[in-house]
Amino acid sequence: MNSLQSFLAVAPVKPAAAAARLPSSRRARVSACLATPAPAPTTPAAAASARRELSAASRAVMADEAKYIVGTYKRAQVVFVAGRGCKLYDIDEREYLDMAAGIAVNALGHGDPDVDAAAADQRGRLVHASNVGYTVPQVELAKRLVEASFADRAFFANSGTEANEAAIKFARKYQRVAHPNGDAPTEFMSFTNCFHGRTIGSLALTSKVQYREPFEPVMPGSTFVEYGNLEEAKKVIQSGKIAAVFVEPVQGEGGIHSATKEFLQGLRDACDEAGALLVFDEVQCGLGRTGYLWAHEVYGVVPDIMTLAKPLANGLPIGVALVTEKVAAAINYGDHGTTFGGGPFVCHAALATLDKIQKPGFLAEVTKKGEYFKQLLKTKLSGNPHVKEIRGAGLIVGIELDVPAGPLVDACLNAGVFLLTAGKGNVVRLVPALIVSEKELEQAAEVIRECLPALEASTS
Amino acid sequence: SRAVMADEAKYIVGTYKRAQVVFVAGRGCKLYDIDEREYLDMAAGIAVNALGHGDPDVDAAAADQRGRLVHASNVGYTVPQVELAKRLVEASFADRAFFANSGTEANEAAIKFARKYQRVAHPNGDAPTEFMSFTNCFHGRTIGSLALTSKVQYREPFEPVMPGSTFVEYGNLEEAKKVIQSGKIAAVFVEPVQGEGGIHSATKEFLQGLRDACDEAGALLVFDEVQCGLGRTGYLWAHEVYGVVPDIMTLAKPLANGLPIGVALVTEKVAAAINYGDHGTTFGGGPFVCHAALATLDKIQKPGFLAEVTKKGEYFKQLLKTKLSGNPHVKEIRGAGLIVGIELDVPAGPLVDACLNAGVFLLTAGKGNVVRLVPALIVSEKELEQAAEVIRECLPALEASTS
Repeated sequence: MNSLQSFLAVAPVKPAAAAARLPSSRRARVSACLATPAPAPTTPAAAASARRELSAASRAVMADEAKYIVGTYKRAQVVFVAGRGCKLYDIDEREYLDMAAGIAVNALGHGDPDVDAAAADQRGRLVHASNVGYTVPQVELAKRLVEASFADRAFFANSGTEANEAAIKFARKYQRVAHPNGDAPTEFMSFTNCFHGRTIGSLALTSKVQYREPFEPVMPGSTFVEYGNLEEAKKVIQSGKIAAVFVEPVQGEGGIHSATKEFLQGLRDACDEAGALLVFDEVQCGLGRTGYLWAHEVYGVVPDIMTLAKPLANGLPIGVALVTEKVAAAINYGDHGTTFGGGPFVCHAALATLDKIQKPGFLAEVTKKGEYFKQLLKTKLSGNPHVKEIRGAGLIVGIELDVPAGPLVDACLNAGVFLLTAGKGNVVRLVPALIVSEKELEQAAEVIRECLPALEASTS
Repeated sequence: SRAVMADEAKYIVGTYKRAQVVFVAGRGCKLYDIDEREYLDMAAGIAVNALGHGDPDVDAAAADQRGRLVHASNVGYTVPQVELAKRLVEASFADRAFFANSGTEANEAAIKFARKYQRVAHPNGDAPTEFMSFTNCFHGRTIGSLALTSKVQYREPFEPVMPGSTFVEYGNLEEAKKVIQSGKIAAVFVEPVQGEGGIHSATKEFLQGLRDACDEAGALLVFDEVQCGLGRTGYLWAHEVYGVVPDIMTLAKPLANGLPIGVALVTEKVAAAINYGDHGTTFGGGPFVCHAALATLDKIQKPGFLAEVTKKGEYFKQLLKTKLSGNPHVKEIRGAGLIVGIELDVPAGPLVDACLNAGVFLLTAGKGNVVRLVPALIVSEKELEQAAEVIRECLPALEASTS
């Protein structure tokens, strides 16, 4: 019995519709135990060209989703039921190379044994007690994050959008305290192609009009400036109306665009002069994704607030706003809060996650693998006329096309590689677990290359 | 203890004036502090640990799912969220679910769904966009939910928040109708039982009146059952006892017995207005959290469970009335099921502190003069007797502070 079957036998998939037996035609695709080298995939051309059949079990789940879930997600046609490392398994036990990591969340891959052990450990002690009293893991986590960053204090929340909402409130309160005579700046500046979240405050700062327009009026006081346009940004900051500037050092959703040092330093200087706060949203690019613990490290520019979320607890809902003492001093009891945020279970899992990311050598490996991957992609893909640019930092990599990436993403899914899009839908976004192996990166690059013809089929 | 408190004071943004206790473990309705002292937990993490700490079945389900898949995002499909959505839909008025990570996120979803619904219902540009909510309400701390939360001190330092909120006195149907009839209201947000606000239960007349006014005006009715839902009142949904049905219901707190989760349950009418891309979340609806929620629901929905909650709630109120009513500071004992409030005519702080010292952990509500009791729904009668007795014994703490 191969390890996948034994793995599923130990943790059986519950739904009644789940197929218990693999059709013989699919057996070849199931990879062997992770402890031994994976066999070569089935003929990639055959894999890419053969339509991946959706079983009755898949279709049942999809039908239920279409019936019982509010239709906000146009989903990839795959039902994931299990994961291990950088592999995901669908309801028919097909294996996929996971180049999405839950949208840059599963930094240590699925089922990291140390995070799992820490989580089980804490679950046996205390999962949640609220912030009415004290609990230990959040204090340890705050200390760890503070000691590893520019920050002096942490506020824990449950998601990236909640972390940004905290940053919004802290910035407004800071300005109110700094301007007791009533002329406190209350507005925010953010950038084109940015993404800060979907709740009303974060949404107001998120540039994509289609995300905001149906829900107007959202929080007032947002200005959007072209990402990278320091001159425009300075003009806005110098108006004196800006409470804070929100910027992603590397824009993820927006298309994998990295800031320049000049841009970030220019923002820092302009904010300092005007008394505005600088907020770095590292929800996607932070915590090792770029090969540095913090994406801003490589620029040598330090913010007043940094928001994190996604990979912090390797899959559990968490967010944090890290702030300087200057900002924290303006915040009083009762100004903000959360029931779940900072809970012992989630924070203990986050500590275990940080243990690994902060291990000596881990980040250097991310940098090395990121460089290797970009090189591989450039070598394999640059011949194709639709491939405009391959860019990124560490293991957040984008392939910009001159056509919608959808058909390529679908073809890759059929060929057993799960990846994302970004930007206006023409950028392939690759954000694998930071523990991805070079072999897996080679596999991903090769499959992407082989699937490129899918772009022709759609444009012909 | 002091080391932890000192570190908290140094490394955590100072938003919480915390009770002087460091909790490190829990089991059932007992919490244990760093010095291994035991406390009777009458707070349940603010009505979150409905099945108590360390429920073996929820823990087993969580461990089970953790071995399979914890998180994969909503880019593809995962099974537990679909099963959970189906379970919630089949057990309620709703037709569909949107999963999020907290109560405030659930209410933010409700806000967005309401605005989009109105926009679709009024394609000619005169869609109502405003919201009405009530005095002493609480809907959350993120900017949208915050705009609907009445307490001025929560909102004022952060203005301008989302525009378009009107607050009406909770229970004042006449005022509420006037506002709804203005035609500017996209949705009305109301808690059938106000928790943070002081344990105030709506009347059937009030909720029915809101329902009728909303129907007439085309406004949506949103029931925030983040604290009072999922069995807390002795009914699966607090609104069941009133026989009034909303267009949207938000839940969170106890749904996954301690893991971060929120959900907005909506009717098909509302869902039909929502398109791909309108809203989203990375973590929300994750398999680990949803699987734990299913295990939690398994227990809450077990035949007899809710009847026990009602019975215990009645017993507890009776106990409290018997033991406490003699005290002149005790103005009223009220509540539904296992959300119980003791209204005092003085700040409850000294009583809460004295109870903590005596090994009973409880909360406040309202303007700080209401003792809020929201134990795990599995609390035993013996534990309720203990709580009531300790509260009685600690009442003199109120004198010490007022003398």
